[in-house]
Formats: sequence, C-alpha cells, structure tokens
Amino acid sequence: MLLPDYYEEDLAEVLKGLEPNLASDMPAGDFIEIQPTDGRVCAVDGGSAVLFDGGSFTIAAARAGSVLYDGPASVDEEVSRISIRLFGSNEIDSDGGFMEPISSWRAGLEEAASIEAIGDLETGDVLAIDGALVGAGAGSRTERILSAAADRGVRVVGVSKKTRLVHVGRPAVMNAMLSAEAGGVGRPWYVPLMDRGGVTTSIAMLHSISTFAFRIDHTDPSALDVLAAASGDPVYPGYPYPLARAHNAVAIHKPTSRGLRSLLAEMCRELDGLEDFHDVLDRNW
Amino acid sequence: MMTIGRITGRDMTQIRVRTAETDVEVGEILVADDGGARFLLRVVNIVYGIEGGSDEWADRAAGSMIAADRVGGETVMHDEDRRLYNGLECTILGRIDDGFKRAKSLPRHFTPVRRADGTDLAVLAECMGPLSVGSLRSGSREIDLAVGLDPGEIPYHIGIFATTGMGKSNLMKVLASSMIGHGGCGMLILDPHGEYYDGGVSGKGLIHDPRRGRIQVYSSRDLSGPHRSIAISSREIEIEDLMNIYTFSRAQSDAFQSARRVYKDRWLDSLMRKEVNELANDLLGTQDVSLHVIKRRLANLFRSNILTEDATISMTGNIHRELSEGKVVLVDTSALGETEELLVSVVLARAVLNRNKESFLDPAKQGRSIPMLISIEEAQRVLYRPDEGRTRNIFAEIAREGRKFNTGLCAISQQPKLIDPEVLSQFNTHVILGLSDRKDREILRDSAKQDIGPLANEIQTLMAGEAVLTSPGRPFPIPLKVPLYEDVIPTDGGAEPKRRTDDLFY
Repeated sequence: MLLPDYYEEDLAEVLKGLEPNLASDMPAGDFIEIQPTDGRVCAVDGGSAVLFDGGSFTIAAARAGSVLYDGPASVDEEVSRISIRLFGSNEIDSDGGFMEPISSWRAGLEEAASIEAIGDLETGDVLAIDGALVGAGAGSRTERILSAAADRGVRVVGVSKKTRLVHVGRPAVMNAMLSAEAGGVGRPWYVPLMDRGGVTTSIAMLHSISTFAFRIDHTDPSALDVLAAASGDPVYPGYPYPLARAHNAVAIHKPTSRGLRSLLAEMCRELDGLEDFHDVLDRNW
Repeated sequence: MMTIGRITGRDMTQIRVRTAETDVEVGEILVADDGGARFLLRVVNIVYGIEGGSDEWADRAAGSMIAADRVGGETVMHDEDRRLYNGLECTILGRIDDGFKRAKSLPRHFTPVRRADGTDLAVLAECMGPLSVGSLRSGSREIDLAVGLDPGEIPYHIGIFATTGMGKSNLMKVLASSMIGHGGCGMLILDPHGEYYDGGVSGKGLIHDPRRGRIQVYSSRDLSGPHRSIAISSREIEIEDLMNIYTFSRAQSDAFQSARRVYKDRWLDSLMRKEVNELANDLLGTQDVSLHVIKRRLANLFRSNILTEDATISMTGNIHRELSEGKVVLVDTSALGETEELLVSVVLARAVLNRNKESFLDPAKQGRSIPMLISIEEAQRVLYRPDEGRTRNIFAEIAREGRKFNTGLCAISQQPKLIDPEVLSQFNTHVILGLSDRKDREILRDSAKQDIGPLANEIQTLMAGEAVLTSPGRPFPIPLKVPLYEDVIPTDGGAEPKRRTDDLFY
C-alpha cells in the first residue's frame, strides 16, 4: 500500500523526540560476561482468555503450569486444569475493563504453580518466572515465592519481555544494548542496575546472536549462567526456552477457548441477553 | 516389537506416519498393528515434519544457526524429539488377517507402527517359487525369506532392467544357479560380452559351479575349461533368420526365395560359393545387382568359421536337447562380430521356438515339455520399435506367442525405453534394479503388471544388488536383495536334481 509522504515526515519528527533517550552511557566495565552453564531450570507461566464479555461483567478462563528442563529436553510438565471465573461490576479496573483483575487472578494461579514447583526442586535449581520479581509490576505475590525458594536453596529469576525500567531517566534496556555495542562488550552479558530486598535487577543479553535484551530480576547472578545455557534455541535465540515452552503449554489456544465459549453459549441459550453482539456482527449475514 | 511411529492420516492411497526415528528408509516395510489385523505399509517417501511450525519457522531457526556459526557460537534445539520429526508417506500393501488380503479399509487413527520382521512377512512365502533370486528386502535390511520365481512364470517372459553396474549379470548367474539346482527348466544364455563363463577378473562364472553336468558351454573363443565351439550348419539357417539381421529389398528377398526353391537346403552354401553369373543363370529373373548385394552381405556375415557345410552338425538340435534335459546352456559369442553374434542368437532362438512348437503339435510329445528361458543381453537391440524394413523379429515373436509353446524370453536391458512398448507389455515379470534414467523408469511404470508408480523414489535409490520384482502372481511389487553369485555357488556337485516334467503344461 502506498502511503502519502507526510507520514514519513511525521514519523521522523516523533523519532527525533526519542533521540535524547537513545543514550549509551553505561560504562563497559559495568557489564559482566555470562558463562553459560548447564543446570536444571523450571519455568512457570500462566495463560488466560475471556470467554464472554458482558460489559459490566465478564467470564474468564485461566490456568498456570510449570515445565522442568534438565539440559536440552523437558523432563517434567505440570499444567493445571483450566479455572473459570465470573468477574462482576465491582471488580472493574481503572481502565473500565477487567484486564487488571484477570491478570491478578492469573498471577495468583502462577504463584500457586510456582510454590508447588519449588517443592519438587533441589538446591541449586533455577526457577524462572515470567515478569518482574520486584517493583511495581511484581506485587506481593513474589514474596511467598522468594521465601519458599530461599528455604530450598532454589535460585529464582524473573524475565520481563517488556519493562518500564529507566536508568538515569532513559529506557534501561535500550541504554544497556547501545552501551554494550559501543563498548565492544562480548556476548552474552548482563549489567546489574539495582538491588532490592535480596533481588538484583539487571539487563541481560543471553545469547551471542540475540537481537533482544531483557530485564531480569534474580536472587543469584549465577542463575543467569544457567539461564543463558537454556537460551540457545535457534527459534528463540536469547530467550530462555523453558519459558517459551511453558508459555505454550499453559496458553489457552483458540480451539479450547472456542470450545468453552460454545459450551457456555449452549448452557445459557435460554438466558436472553447473554450473547455478545460482536458475535452477531461477525456472522456476516 | 518397538513402535517407531503413529499413523496421523490421509487416505487409502497414502498413509502418513509420524516418527522420531531418523533411520527409516524409503522402501522399508512397516506394520500397523490395529487390533487383530496387521496392515503392511511400504515407505515411499520421507518428508520433514515440524510440530507447531511452518516453513518460515524452520527458515528462522536455520538463520539463527547460521548466524551463530558465523560468530563461533552455538544453538541448541530444545525438545528436538518432540518438535522435529519425519513424516513417512506410505502405501498400504495389504493386511495380514488369517492370510494376506487386499486392504479395503484404513487402520484406525494413531495406530502404532513398527518395522516388519520375518514373522510378519512369512505369509508371502506361499507366492514365492523355487527358482530363488534372492531374499526379501525392507529398505536396505534383508528379511529371512527367499524370493523365487516359479517355473510357470518362465513362458510369460522376464525383463531385467538396470543401469550398468547395478547387478544384472550377477542376478542372471544367480538365476542360472537356481535353474541348475532345480533341473526342471532349461536356460539358454546368449552372452555377447563373455562375462558369464568365468566371471572376468573380479568374480566367478558358471565354470566355477561344481555341478558341471548341468551346464553346457558353447563358445566362439578358446576357453580354459570344457566347451564346444560354436558351429552352425548352413542348413540350420533359414531365410527368415537373415531377415532378422538385414533389411532386404523386395528383389533381394525374391532372390533368396528362388535360391531356396532351386538349391533346396543347400541354398545358403550355393549363394556363398557360386559366382554371380552362375547364380543368375540358375535363378532366372534375378538381377545381378541383387545377387552382388546378397553375396557381399553373406561374406561380411560369415567372416569367422562358425558356419559349416557339414550337414551332420546340428548345434540347434543339441542345444534344444540339452535345454529339454533341464540344463543351463551358455553360448559365448564374445569373439564374434555384432551381426554374426546376432545371427547366432536369432538362429538359436528361432530353433528353440520352432522345436517347442513341434512338440506342442506332436501328440506323442505333449506333456513332456519343460519351460525354456532364452536370455538376451542388450535386448533393446532386438526388441526395437517396429521397423518397416526388417520384416521378421524372432524375439518379438517369442515375446508374443512363446507362452503357448513353453518358451520364455529373458530380456536384459539398461535402456528399456528403446524397447517396443507393445513387446514390453508381454513381459509378465520385471526385475528392476537401479535405473538412473527417468524415461526408462516411466516406460517400466507403464508396462509393469503392478503399480510401481509410487515406488519412483525407491527405485531411484536402489543400491547394487537391490531390486524390485513385479509380477501378477505376487500381491505387491516385491523388494528384493540379490546375493552375490559367489555366495550361492554350492561347494560340491550336489545330487542330480530330479527331472521334473511339466505334465500340466500342454
């Protein structure tokens, strides 16, 4: 599709505003080389789907699970059955929807899955969860996880695919990547930024050919060595494969959510009004 | 038995099996155990499979691997066994369910699949004849089950097709060895390359078979062992034999007929010995120019001393008698020129057919004939597409009507595409060794009596000594491994085979 030239000018103007943020002011000496080391990694994740959006209420499904890796192959997988919940008007979030309460509900399931997984892990194993361990995005759920892990000598990492973290007022991930590039830092690397409550927040690039770096919170820097060894999958170079696998294992894929929606529709056929008008529009006839 | 995969789908023409095994081969026979019935499957193609991914997924992964190679890094394909697999495309050969049957239904979804073994395939033993040519093969793996031709298949002709070096001569020697052991069929081997007698420098030949009494050798050259010289009486040659070799004009053909009429059975000697003016006087109405051409061609044809005027010699008679006794007769024509060698082949083939025709018509000999097989090398030379000039083709004639007279042709060729398709269609049994030319494979696909279309990959990947045998008497094209001739020669002369007469033939 051909776009008018003025779009390019508009975008250039926006990018100009971004330029001050694209700094590379982290000294090369702050970067630490990661030594990929084989070890057991247990990844935990959760998935959810909206089954019916009634506007002032919603019905959602969620589940969580874990996948244990020992080297290149998974040795154990635990995925919970799908839970279904009704969210009422009293739970509507600040955006006027149910994203926040659903996310919180799913996080609770992930927490339970993590605690259960830790019970089966051994000292020195790494527990990898999706998201931050500390800060605004983490909430109180990680406290129990960190406590249980500490009791068993399990190292914990939290990998954030997206983060609002800034360093000296600039986006931390972009800053770290540009600084490493400018300083000729050898990959894989990590750069620790802050410590809070026994958890270090770092930016890490986990594989030599990765084009991404992630915010990773960790209780022990040696866990990054183990995580890097599990991040060499050619489909996701630089992202911990156990987390990718856990993501797919717990995701509520379309065939399942479609099945649940039809079952719900069948059970509610006699309840007038329990039909999403979007579905009516989508029929195209 | 270890399960190597599961059926995932498709239809009656093709079954798809998912497997994590990487050593499954094209041509392997698999078994789908579906409750009481066992479905036999044959792998005809193998394709890459990626779970949950597309071709782009694989391209991306390969791109990462290449990028890692460039920087000296490495990638690890996690859960490789789960994410990557092979898809086996198979045909259904049939089902074993109280005997072998054609499959008219599908095995159930996800039926476990394993490799076939001798126990599964023992059911095929009932369709194997006593003339062993090797053992059953599954991919490259030999199965302990002899594959053999039946004497009854001989008059329905056999085609052996292969590129050079794939084992045609070895197969012929193995077949000859089986014939010797069986004793119930005659086999005439016409050998223009001199490769069957002693096997050349690297192998063994028929001379190394201790059952000497069952083999008779005729040769145009001196051989180290017992043999007779090729000597054909001029009276054993018919005008039609020459018509197989040369294209003659109408006037020249008329001259032959006049000579036959005037000189009786000495027509050939007379045409060769007498001067043109004398012949012209005897053969009234024949032009000198025609006689000159005839004499020049006959002089070229009989440069060596295989032709004799001694009327007491009857090589054709001797050979037919030896074939009737169930012997293997080797005629080594390697020292002859091409046309001379061809003439010897034509004369012998015609004589065998005619004598078997006589037996067929003679009530006293009926029921006492045994099948005779005439093998011809480079068969495309004589089973060519119709040629308007040459009016006779004894080999095509045998292909068309030999079955009535217990006479079979064994055509050996590396270029079946040059053989007249109509003649090729007369061959009930094909033994296909490795054939590199696509057109050769296509012509065989069209003429074989079983569907070998899906076996294109298997035939293309055949190694020396590996073959596919097709014939109407077998439930599917049989994969075959031909042993080395050296390994099948008996160590002693063995017992004289019991003379078997095909009492039911006539």
